[in-house]
Amino acid sequence: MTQDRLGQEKGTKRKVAQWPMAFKLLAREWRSGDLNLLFTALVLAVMTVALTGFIADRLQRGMEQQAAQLMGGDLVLRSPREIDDRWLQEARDRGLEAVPSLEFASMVAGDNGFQLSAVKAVGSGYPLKGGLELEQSSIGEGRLQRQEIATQDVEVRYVDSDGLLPAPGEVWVDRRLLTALNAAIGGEVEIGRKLFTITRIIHKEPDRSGGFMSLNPRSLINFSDVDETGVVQPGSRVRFRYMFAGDLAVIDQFKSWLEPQLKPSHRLLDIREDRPSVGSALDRAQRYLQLASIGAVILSGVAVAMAAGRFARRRQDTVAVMASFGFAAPVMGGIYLRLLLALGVAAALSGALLGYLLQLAGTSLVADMLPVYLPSAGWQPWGLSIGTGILLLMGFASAPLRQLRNVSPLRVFRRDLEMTSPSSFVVYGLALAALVVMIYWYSSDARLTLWLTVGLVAVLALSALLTLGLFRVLKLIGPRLPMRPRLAVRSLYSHKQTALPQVMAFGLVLMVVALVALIRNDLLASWQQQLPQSAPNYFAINIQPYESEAFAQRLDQAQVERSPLYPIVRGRLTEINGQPARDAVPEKAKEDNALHRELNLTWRSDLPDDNQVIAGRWWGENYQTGSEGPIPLSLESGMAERLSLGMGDTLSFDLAGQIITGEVTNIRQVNWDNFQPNFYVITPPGVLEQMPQTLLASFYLSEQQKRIVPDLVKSFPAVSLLDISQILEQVRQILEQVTLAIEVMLGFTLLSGLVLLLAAVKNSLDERLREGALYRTLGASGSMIRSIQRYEFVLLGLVAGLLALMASELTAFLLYRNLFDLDYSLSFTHWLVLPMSGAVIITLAGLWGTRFVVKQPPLQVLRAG
Amino acid sequence: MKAPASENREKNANTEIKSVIRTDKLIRTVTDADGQELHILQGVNCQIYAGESVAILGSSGAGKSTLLGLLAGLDQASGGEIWLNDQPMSQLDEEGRAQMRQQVGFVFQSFQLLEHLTALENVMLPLELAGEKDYQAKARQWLERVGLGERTKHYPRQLSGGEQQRVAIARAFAGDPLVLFADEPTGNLDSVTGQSIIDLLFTLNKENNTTLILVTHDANLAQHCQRRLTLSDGLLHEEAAVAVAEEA
Repeated sequence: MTQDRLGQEKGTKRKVAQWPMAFKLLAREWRSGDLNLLFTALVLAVMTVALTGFIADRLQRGMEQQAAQLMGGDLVLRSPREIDDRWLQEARDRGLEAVPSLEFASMVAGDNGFQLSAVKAVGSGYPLKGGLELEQSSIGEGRLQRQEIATQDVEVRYVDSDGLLPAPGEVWVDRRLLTALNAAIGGEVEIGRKLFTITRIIHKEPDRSGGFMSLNPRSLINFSDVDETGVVQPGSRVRFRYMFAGDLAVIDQFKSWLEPQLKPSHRLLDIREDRPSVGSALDRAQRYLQLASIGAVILSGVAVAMAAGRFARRRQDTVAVMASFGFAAPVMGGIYLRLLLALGVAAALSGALLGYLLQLAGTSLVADMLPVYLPSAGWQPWGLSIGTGILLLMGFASAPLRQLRNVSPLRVFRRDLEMTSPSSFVVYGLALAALVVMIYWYSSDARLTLWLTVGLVAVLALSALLTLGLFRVLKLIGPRLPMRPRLAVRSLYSHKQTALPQVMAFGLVLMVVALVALIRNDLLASWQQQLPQSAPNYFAINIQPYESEAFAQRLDQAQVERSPLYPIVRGRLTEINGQPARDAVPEKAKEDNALHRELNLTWRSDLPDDNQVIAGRWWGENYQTGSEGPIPLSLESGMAERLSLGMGDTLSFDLAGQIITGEVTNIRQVNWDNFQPNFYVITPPGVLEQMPQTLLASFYLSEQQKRIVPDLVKSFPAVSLLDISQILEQVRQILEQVTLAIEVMLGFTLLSGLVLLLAAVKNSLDERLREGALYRTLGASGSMIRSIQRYEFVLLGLVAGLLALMASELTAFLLYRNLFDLDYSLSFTHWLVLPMSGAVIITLAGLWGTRFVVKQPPLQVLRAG
Repeated sequence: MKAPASENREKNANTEIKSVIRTDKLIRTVTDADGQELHILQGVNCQIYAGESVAILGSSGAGKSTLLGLLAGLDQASGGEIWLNDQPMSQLDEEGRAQMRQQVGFVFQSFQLLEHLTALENVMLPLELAGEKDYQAKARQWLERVGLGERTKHYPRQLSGGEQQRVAIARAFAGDPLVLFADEPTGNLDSVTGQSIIDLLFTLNKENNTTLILVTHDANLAQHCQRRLTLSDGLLHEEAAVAVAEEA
């Protein structure tokens, strides 16, 4: 029996070991340089995902860490009673740190007076997150007194407590308390039955929350002293806070273990829930980061598809020749698919590594500019980026390469026998499937995935139709144009099979970049609006009606920017539709805070700023409460939802013994992020005026204006001043970090856009090189060819810009409404800028990418063809 | 059909014999993958006169096409000088050479038609590039002359090899070139089709009084030319001139 050169018996079917063959071919193909573009596109795709993934991961960890500092831990359990010790033990067994704290209001008595104080008792380990800052003065702590600060004779420094806590028997106080008590360091104060020595002044505590309990000046004592004070008795109003910190994955596990065991009176807070201001900023930022990296991946995916298509076209001859030698095209196709997979793995690994290294280099360069330390990244971005590479390859590159299986061996005789184009259904179906998987994988958000997919499919279909339509129009007007634009239009139209995907790719780049930039601007603007430089940093509550005018006058004299004085009437919700309130609400709402404490009611003729009526109508400014009809009530939407209250429900309130009943006539959405006074229930004027009331104001004090605080405290002793500068500062820092993350993401989306731009230009390069050479042999000069190309790219850019405009407006509309909770408005500058910049950017990229068309000697090009 | 320019040229040719192309010690050196220099042309001297038909012969790899490319201004020499219509080429940059190329036409072995353009559009292109006004009518006339008047709207892939070469010939002559360069114009065709292409090429050449320079292996094709030059060892050798003009 004879054997052929592959060592197989003649007459039997030739079998090729496809994997070893794929690796052999890979080595050869690599040397030929034809895989460069595909490899580069893949590496860049994976690198972008890795880079964005690592940075997003680290920034997110950084932001969460900072948010955790605001709470004093990664997870906080709030309870009116001491919790089961086993819960703490469980947390510690899981490797988490757990620290208890207790807050209560108590009178603190000193030698020269007494003052209601927010006492906080903390256990060792406090604070788990963030730092406690103390005052240190240049003249020794013992003599640090109010007058000295006022005359500014002393230099005061703030130092970290470094894990130090008040020892048993010691109390640390904030400066307001010292002032109010007219006491000094070393002095003694009494809290309940126990005597404490003042040893330190607190400047900043990480988890100072904004509740009413904390309005009073702070005293910090050791948790072990609580019993001896005798303040905490069964039924007394105290709040336990248990703070947990550790690995976030373990925190999540612990949270799911704990949740089913909680009682209605318990409240579990995590970083996203505790602070609406930070929570929604983080949420939106996270959505943005996700969206931007999805944008980058879509761009890279299309670049990969284009590069793979080009590679497949260039390999038809090889497959045809091999097929004519008896290695069936499907076998060769299989080998090329394996080759592709091997290449993909190599590209994914190098891309991920490059992304990691770049991210390290990048963040270390800007480390000093970052508001906080960035924690190191986790493992997730590695898996995400490498997985993305493989998925991209399978979704975007496998279809064109699979087509190699259909190459006819006859092509060796007739080069014009092109492989059948892959069915659009297969190509787009695969790509779309890969995209959906990736979007869902990144976001774990079915809604986002749905919107993006629907948006993308609609945009692609519309764009293809629109482009073909525009091409037809161009064809019609083409013959009437002067020579150069005429030739450009003809080239564009006759190349529509390559020009269409090119236009779509250009359009996609412009759209994604425009969208990412648009959302960035609007997000940043909405944050700036939320926290302007002069956002109120002080609240004054318990202003008595008789002193309200004097108080307002004092602020106005000091030229302080302030809100109006809002009257507050405190009342308990007693009945709903004639039934006791607790019986009228659904089971899950029975423990709701709104039913168990006094609510703040106010009256107003006009709708407060930042409030939006979402059901019913606001009473007009001229509304007069008459004798007929029930009293109209305006209800906050969150409370309405929690208690299942709606329009027309009647509510009764007990206002210090006096009962008023009204009917819900409108429901308001309140922006809780704006640090302005907000109210659950509002009535028209003429209802509450005669009830016992206090007033509330918020105002902004600059550093200089803060000098009036001691004076305010002294002149209006009943008024409680709440300083929220620290909270504002922390929120601002988080927003700064989020902003930075957003800028970084925008940068990388731009980069992937650029890569796709070049891949798209490269895709037509072979053809352009040959045509350029032919044009030149036919007498065209280099400058004439460049000028024709310029017309061509300007047209491509204009069409792509128009597509991008349409697509980005449509997608922005959907995203704003459904994901970012931002107001959408048509931007007319956009209408001008997008097509223009499309034309400019694409012309520049196109001319750069095709610069060799006029540089290579024509003979060389024509011979190669 | 004769363009006014070719009539003028005919008059000139009758009064004096003018060299259209002249080379002096033309050198072309390339560097191979190992960094070794290959001297393809080592000092080629030749003169080609207006209205002549010249065949360049030589074995494979002798450098025939390289020489043709240099003469046509498609490539740059490593040394020596070429004059086209008395203008020296070595001083010209690519732009200058492109301008010079407006006076020449090409026919390639592999046709080199633009796949995405119809036959008519392929012939129109050089006319449009030269800024001619009635480019469409003129291109149509030329396609009729090469026997493809009925196939103006066909794309290259819808035409046979011989038909594609006819389109290429129409394209080459449509620009009314001073010199027509042909690189193995029958190399991709069977002998019958090849013969019809040779006939067409020489008929049109005679009618337009164009200078024809062609590179070929084909002795039959070379026999149609007035002069035959052989390239070997990087130098050009002239065979005895044969009066074949009458035959053509």
